[in-house]
Amino acid sequence: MAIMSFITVSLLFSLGLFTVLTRRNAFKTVIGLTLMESAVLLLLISWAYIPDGWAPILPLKGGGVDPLLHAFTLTAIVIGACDLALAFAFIMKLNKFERTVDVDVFRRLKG
Amino acid sequence: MIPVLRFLGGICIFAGVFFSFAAVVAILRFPDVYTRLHGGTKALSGGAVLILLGALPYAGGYPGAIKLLLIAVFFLISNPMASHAIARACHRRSLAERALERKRGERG
Amino acid sequence: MSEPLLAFFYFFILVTAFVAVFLEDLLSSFIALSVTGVLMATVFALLRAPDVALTQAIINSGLVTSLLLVAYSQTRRTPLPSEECPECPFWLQWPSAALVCTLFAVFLFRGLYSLACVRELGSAPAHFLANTLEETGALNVVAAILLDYRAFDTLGETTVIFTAVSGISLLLAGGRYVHSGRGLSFVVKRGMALLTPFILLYAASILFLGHLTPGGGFQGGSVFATVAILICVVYGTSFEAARISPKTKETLESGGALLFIVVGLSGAAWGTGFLANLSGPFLPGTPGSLFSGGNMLLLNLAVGLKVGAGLSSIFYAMIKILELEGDSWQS
Repeated sequence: MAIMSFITVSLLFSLGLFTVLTRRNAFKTVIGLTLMESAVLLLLISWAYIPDGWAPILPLKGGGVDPLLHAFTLTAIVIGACDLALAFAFIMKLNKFERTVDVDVFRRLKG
Repeated sequence: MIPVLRFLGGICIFAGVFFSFAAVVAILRFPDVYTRLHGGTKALSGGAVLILLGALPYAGGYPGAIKLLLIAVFFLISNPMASHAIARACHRRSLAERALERKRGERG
Repeated sequence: MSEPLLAFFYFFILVTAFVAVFLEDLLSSFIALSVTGVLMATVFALLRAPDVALTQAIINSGLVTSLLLVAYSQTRRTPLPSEECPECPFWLQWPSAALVCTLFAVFLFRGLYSLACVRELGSAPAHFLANTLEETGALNVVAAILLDYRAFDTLGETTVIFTAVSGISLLLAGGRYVHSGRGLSFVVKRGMALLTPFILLYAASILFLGHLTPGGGFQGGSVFATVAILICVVYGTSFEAARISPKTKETLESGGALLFIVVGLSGAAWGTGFLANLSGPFLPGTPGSLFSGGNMLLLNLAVGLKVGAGLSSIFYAMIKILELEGDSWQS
């Protein structure tokens, strides 16, 4: 079962990377960033799963899953949302200056 | 008693899935934004409530069952409200009239 | 966990991700991204991670999608760039990127495959699962890790939120606030008036019971921010600004950070250390009651204040009207 999640994680991450590399619209770049972060979250949670484990709320009815990776994933979700919001603010401000959301125009900005 | 309830719950879930599928077909196949909203909202509200009611025998005791009922009530209040907001926004901007004019212009 | 069910969800996550990437209509790709987030939340719930599923559903599928739609509506009037690039040779466009990404995926999978083994708990997670009740007095192990064992990381995370809010307020500083009193129609206003107290109660229960049930400061604060966004949309921004002005939001956010630091310093003043919990001046209480877990209740409140006020400040800053009168770099 871990193999299934590894395949999904690799495909999802490379899909996000492909979007960031090839698309000209800045919003598509943000979508690719979101997909890459989602792939990492999926890897963490699927790695934390122990077969026949219970959710980490005491009292446990049997074995438990790994709670440390869940804490890391919570932090990663919140920080991901914050950096996405900052990316939106960048896009909005650059759009007001350049009147476009083209990443190639953004890349040619100097000074 | 419990297996009979679970069987009835299964039938409710199947009916709910059928209604949700009908909502998807309505959104894809109807010609206009208002008809799509109408078919989608009605079928989706009924389908989701049926699924939640069908999950009641599987909830494992009264606390879970009351939570499912509360979710169903919340969904029944908020989903038609959201569709009303969308339809009113479409009406304010005359989206359907403009789409009809565009279609008439294309047909020549 | 049944493997066909998980395989079904993984396949659908990939399908919706594909749709989100390759669809030309931006609004539809945003909705597809939100659906990917919801499917991932379902997978997290199936993999026995209720805390993470709740956070993913609220923050990634709810808040990030609404901020994305706000940013899109602010940039809607400019023309969309086309994906063709005439001066670039064809082999350098998407084929080489596809080749690089495929190679990357293959090597990533090979690297992960070599890690695959029979999973068993490491020493630190096993210690957390076994000793949380005695050492912290809380029932939610993930909340105990976030607010007691690794509370310093949570302080760093609130600093990241503060940095993001400051950066966004700085970037969007030149605009004027929207003062619209209209809002949506009467039906929606009445319906929201019926629902809002219950949503607020739900947010408070997630926040304050975070050390007993899945939830905590981040999730509760995000739901509070969602209520602020809803009131802004449904009743108009002047209604919302009259109730909770931007100054109040700033004060609440700073108050949350200060509460966190004061609680930590009280542990240091007791003599044990910064952010000390049960070995500091805080009482464990009876496990399972509201006032248990030492300082975790106060820390949850601090984090919830910061996240809620910060995220609603972000929304309020992003809906500003950014006017640049004749001040463009492209003259």
